[in-house]
Amino acid sequence: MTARALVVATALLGGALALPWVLAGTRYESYVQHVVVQMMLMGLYAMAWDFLNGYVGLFSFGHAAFFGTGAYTAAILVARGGLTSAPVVLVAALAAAVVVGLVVGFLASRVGSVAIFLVTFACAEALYLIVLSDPRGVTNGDNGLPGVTPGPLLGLDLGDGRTFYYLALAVVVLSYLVLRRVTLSQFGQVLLGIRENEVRVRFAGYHVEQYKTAAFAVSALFAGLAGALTAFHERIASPESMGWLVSGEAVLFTTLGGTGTLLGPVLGAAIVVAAREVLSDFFRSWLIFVGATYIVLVFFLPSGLYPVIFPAGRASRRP
Amino acid sequence: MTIVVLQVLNGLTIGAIYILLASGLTIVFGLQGIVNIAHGVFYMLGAYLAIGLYPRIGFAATLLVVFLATALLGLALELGGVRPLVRWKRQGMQVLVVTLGVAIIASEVTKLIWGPVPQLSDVPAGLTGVMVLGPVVYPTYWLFVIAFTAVFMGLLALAFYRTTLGILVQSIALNSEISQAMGTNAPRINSLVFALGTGVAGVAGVLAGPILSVYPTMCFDLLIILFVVVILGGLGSLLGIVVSGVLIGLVNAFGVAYLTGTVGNIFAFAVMIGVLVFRPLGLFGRAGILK
Amino acid sequence: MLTLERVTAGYGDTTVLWDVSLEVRRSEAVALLGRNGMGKTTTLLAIMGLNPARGGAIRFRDRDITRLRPFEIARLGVGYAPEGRQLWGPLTVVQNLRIPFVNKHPDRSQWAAQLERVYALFPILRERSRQAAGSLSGGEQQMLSIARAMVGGDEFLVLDEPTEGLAPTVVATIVDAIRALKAQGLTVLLVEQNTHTAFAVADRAYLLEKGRITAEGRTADLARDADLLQRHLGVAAEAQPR
Repeated sequence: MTARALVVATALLGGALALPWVLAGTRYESYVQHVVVQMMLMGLYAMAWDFLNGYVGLFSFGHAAFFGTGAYTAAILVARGGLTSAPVVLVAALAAAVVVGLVVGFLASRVGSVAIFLVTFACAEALYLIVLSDPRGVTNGDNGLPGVTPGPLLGLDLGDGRTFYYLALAVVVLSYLVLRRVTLSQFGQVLLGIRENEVRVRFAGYHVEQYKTAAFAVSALFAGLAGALTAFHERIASPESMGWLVSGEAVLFTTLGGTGTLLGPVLGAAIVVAAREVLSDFFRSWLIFVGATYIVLVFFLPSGLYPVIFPAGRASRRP
Repeated sequence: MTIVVLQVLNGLTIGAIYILLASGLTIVFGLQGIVNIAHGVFYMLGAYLAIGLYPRIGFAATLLVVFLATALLGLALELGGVRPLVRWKRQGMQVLVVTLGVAIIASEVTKLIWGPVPQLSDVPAGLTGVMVLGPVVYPTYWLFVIAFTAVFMGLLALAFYRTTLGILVQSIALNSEISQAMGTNAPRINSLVFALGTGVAGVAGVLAGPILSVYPTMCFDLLIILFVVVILGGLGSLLGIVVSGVLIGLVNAFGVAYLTGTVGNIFAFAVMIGVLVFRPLGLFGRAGILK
Repeated sequence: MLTLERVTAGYGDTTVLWDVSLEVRRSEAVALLGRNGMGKTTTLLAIMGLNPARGGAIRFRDRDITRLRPFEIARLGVGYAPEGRQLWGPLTVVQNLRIPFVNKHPDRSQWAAQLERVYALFPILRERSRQAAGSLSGGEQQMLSIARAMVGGDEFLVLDEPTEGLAPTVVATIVDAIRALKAQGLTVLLVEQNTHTAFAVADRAYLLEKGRITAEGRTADLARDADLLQRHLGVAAEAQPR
C-alpha cells in the first residue's frame, strides 16, 4: 500500500467508524446504516471473488452459490431449526459454503479458463433451482425464508442496527487482513504463480488442481460469510441471493473497483449499491445501467477505478 | 409405453431447439475461444419478431426475415463488441462480460417494449393438427421442429466437412495462426460464422415460439441449459451438441413428466457434473481446444 | 525480393532480435543459420506477421509489410512451411493443400495443375491424398508442409527447419525438392540448424547469434571458414558438405 492509499484507507475507516455517531438521532440513521452494511457485506462478497480472479486468475460466474449457501444455511438453522446460538449458526454456514466451494472447485479446476465460467455458472444455477423448487419444503421456494433472527453473537445483540453495523465493519476489515495475509503466504505465492504461468507451476511439482480447489474453498468461505451475515441483516434468505445476477455482481463490483486489489471490490460494491439506491427509485429498468457499466468498463476502464485513484498502489501486479 | 414414446418425442423436440441454439455457440467457441452470453438474445428476438411478423407475412417469410435480421445484428455485435477485444488479445473473459452487458440491456429493453407477461406464438397454418404414429398421436408442428433440425444439422455437417468454406472454418478451429499464415482471412470468416450462428438462434426462437413461452428473461433461462448442452457435448464439437442436446432434451422431458420441470433441469445439471468428473472435456471434446 | 532493415522483435518483456538486416534476391536461396534460440524462427514469424516486428521495416516486392496481418502477407505470394510442420492433422492431405490454394492462387481452375505440380515433386503424396495429415509419417508430413507452402503458386517460400528430425534418406528427398523448386525459379528463405542441408541448397547465408547477424556471405565462402563454423555452429571442419 502506498502512503496515499494508507491515508485514504484510514480516512475511510475513520468515517465508517464515525458515521453512526454523526447520524445518531436523525431520521436517516437506520436507513443509511442499513445501506452501508449492504455495501460492506457485498464488498466482502466481491473481495472473495477478487481473491479467486485477481490472485489465481480463475473467473467464477457462480459465486452466488457460495453466498446463497451461507445465507440459506444460516436461515434454515435459525428459522427452521430454531437454533439461536449465532456462533454455531455462523460456523455451520461457513462450513456449508466451504463444502460447496470444494465441490465446485474440484469440478472447475479440471477444465480450461472459459469452461470454468460455464461450470461455475451451471453449478450455481443448479443450487438456485433446488432452492427455488424446494422439493423438501425447507427453503420456502420463491418467497424466500424469513424469520432469520439469531441470538446474540459474543454478547452482541445482532438485532440492534448500530451493533450490526460495527460487527459488519469489523468483519470486513478482518477479512481483508486475513485475505491479504493469505495472498502473501507461500500458498498465495503458488496461486499467483498459477495465474502467471500455470504450466511452469505444474512443472515445478505443484498439484495445480488441488491449489485451485483450495483457492475456491477459501473464496467460498468469505462469500459464505457475507451471505450468512446478509441473511442475519435482512432477516431473510431470498432465492435471488443464489441467482446469476448476484454472481454477476461479484464480477461487476470487482471490475469496477479494480481486480487484484481486494479493496477495489469494496469500493465497487459501495458505488453500485449507492447507485442502485438512488436510481432504482426513478428507473424501473435500472438494470440497463448495470449492463451498460459492464460494457463501458471492458472497453474504457479495464483495470477499474483503484489504479486511477491510487496509481501504482495495487496489491499485486498484473501483466 | 405410449407415454414413454410421447416423452421421447417431447425430449427430441426440446432437444432440437437446444441443438439449433448450441450449434452457433459451440462453433464460435471452437473458432475464437469465446462464449457469447448474448446468444440467447437473438433467440428471444426471433421469438418476439415472429409473433409480430407471422400473421402478416407467413411462416416461411418470417423464418427468412428473422434469420437475416438476427444475423445482421449478430454481425454488428461481432464487429463492434468482439473483434476489437480479440484484436487486443483480450478475448475470453472480457467478451463474456461485454456480451453479458448486452444481454442484460436487451432483456430490459424487451421488457419495456413487449412487457413482462409471457406470450405464446401461433402454430403456423399448415402445421397445425396432429399426426398419428401407431399408438401415439402427436402435434404435427412439434414433429416439424424435429425434422427441421435434423435436416439443418445434416446440411451443416455437409457444409462443415465437404465445402471449401467448411474446410477453412475447420482449419481456423484447428490452428488459427497457421491458417492465417496460409492466407485465410480468419477475422472475416469468424465474423461470418458468428453472424450465421446468431441467425440460426433467431430461427430457433421462431420455431420455439409456439412450444415454449416467450418472455423477456428467456434469453437467460434457456442459455443456462444451453451451456450444459455445450459443455456436456464438449466445447467446439458438432457431434457433441447433437448427442448432448438429445440427452438433455430427454432428461428434461422425463423430468417434467414424472417430477417437475425444475427437477428435470436439476437432473440436467447433475448429468453434466457427473460427466465432467469423469471426462473434463465433455463427451466429445478435444484436448487442447479448451486451453 | 525481401528485405529486412534493422528489425527488432521479441515476446512479452524480452527482445529476441536486435537490428536484423538481411536481403533475399529474386530466384535466390538464402539460409539463416544459427544454434537453437538465436532468433531464427522469430525472424520468420516477424516476416509472416505472426509475431510482428517491434522496430525496423520489412519489405516484400518493394512493399512495406511490417504491419500487415498474416493473411495479407501470405496473399502477397509468400508460401510458408512453419517450424514443426503444424499441419491440420484431422484434415486430409488434399484438404491441407486446398486451403492455401483457394486463399492465394489467383486462378481456381489451376487446382488440378497445381496438385500435379505437387505430386511431381512428392509422388508419395498422391497415394496419401485421401489420408488424414496426422496419420502420415514424419517425412511425408514434411513433404506435405513444403507442398502446402508452394501449392498457392507463390514465388517466395519461407521454410523453417524443413529437415529437422528426419532420416538421412528423407533429408535427401527434401533437399532435392527444394533444389527443384529453386530450379523452377522460386526464391527461398530457409532456416536451418543443419549446415549440410543449408549449404547444399543455399546460395548465400546469414549467421544469427543472440539475435544479431554476425556473419554473412556466399555459402561456398562460408563453408571454407572452418573456424567460423566451429565457433558458431559447433560443426567440425571435416563434417563440411561436398
